Amino acid sequence: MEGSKTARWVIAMLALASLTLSPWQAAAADPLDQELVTLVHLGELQGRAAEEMKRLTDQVQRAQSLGLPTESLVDKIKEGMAKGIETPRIEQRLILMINHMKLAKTLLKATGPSGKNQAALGGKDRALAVLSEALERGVTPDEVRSVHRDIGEGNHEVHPDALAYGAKGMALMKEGGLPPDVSRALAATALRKGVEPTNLMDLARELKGRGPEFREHPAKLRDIQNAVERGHRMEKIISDLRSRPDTTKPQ
Amino acid sequence: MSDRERLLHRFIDQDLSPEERLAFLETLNRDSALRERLIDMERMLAGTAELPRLTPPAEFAAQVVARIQPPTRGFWERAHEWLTAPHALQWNPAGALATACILLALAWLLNGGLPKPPSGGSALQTAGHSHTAPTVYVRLALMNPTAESVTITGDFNGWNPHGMPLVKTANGLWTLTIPLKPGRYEYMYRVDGKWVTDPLASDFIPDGFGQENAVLDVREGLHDGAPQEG
Repeated sequence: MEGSKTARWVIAMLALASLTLSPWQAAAADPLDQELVTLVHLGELQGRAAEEMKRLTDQVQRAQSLGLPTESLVDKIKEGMAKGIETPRIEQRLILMINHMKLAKTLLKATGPSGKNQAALGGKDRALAVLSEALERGVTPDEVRSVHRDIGEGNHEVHPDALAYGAKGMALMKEGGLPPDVSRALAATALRKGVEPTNLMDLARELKGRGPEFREHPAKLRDIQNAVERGHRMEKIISDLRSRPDTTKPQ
Repeated sequence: MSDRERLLHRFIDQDLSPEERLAFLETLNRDSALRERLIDMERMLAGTAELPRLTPPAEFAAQVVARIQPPTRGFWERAHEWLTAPHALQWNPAGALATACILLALAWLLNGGLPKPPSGGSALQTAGHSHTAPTVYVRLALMNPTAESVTITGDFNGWNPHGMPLVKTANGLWTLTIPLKPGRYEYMYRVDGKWVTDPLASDFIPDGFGQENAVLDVREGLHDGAPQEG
């Protein structure tokens, strides 16, 4: 009888120990939670109100619950804290980023094909991150749909990555002041011709950097369009472009 | 069965003590009915002894054993019986302590070791890049002959406010080579404490706080040790 009582006591202690350890281990097992807790502490050390810091971490957790990637949001909090930005302004920025991500997700779902590419969409955050950046850089949802239509011309199946990089390429060219239609057509044609997204980004940055030159001399832009259309190697197009002096800049 | 009848049976079976036997014989001498009953029983026994002795067939024993063996039960029946039958728990403190240690060790192993407690520095480390991806050495440079100090901070170092210091070389060129995993990074310089966008960056993006971050796209394909200009 006495032994039975002690056995029950031992079992109760073991159960209590497991209950005590479980929440600690569960919390520590989630690196995001751990990082957010640390961010709140760091914010407090900077003299920020804990409630305000909590609102920032709430935004990250909201994004997580929506199935959105959180890494860029955490980075933005750290950036804002390092730059001494007021906490409410950081929060506004996070809300905007989340809205872009939600929109990007909706666009990718709406334009996403079935089959393996749909599976790729579900498993990867890259397309979502790149398309979010494109939206942030000023591409509109209608323009994204147009890019999708242009890339898919001729029944080409559009991979989510292709759509995202196409939109980002268009965004960069638009930032350089190139006409939206030309930017969209150039990005879509390049992807349809099998140009690697990284090469398209290089071209788009080059065109953005020399935007005034192309605005001044539209014929030069048409030459590049033709070269892309004819399927010339992108590395060659970019090296040719770089070897030509920018006529709008003082030498 | 009456007492007289029981005594009679015990007498036939020679189960009486000497005193009981003497007493029974005196009774038998006086009681003629009892005497007749004894004679009848002895006749019956004698007749029984004359009956032929029956011997069982050879397989009889095996058949009987087969009938009295319990039926074989399945695993689940035995398991159910074991689970539902009452068991006595025999234990001692040393055994209980050893069991507890084994359980804790198992839990520790299953969780990949005890988690490290949060530390202040962990948040300032860049996360999310594959450890298996090749390292690319990126050389960053900023021309500023008048600067007293130049540091760099960005996604790759968790926007550590202290940043990573650049080294001043001849002609006022500040440089730093950093190992990075392939990926996209935003960053800024701090020149004498002021935030400055890298004018040589290949791309820029508004930081959402009124300034522009430089963007660094680190790609795979470059060999380790081959610097990639930032």
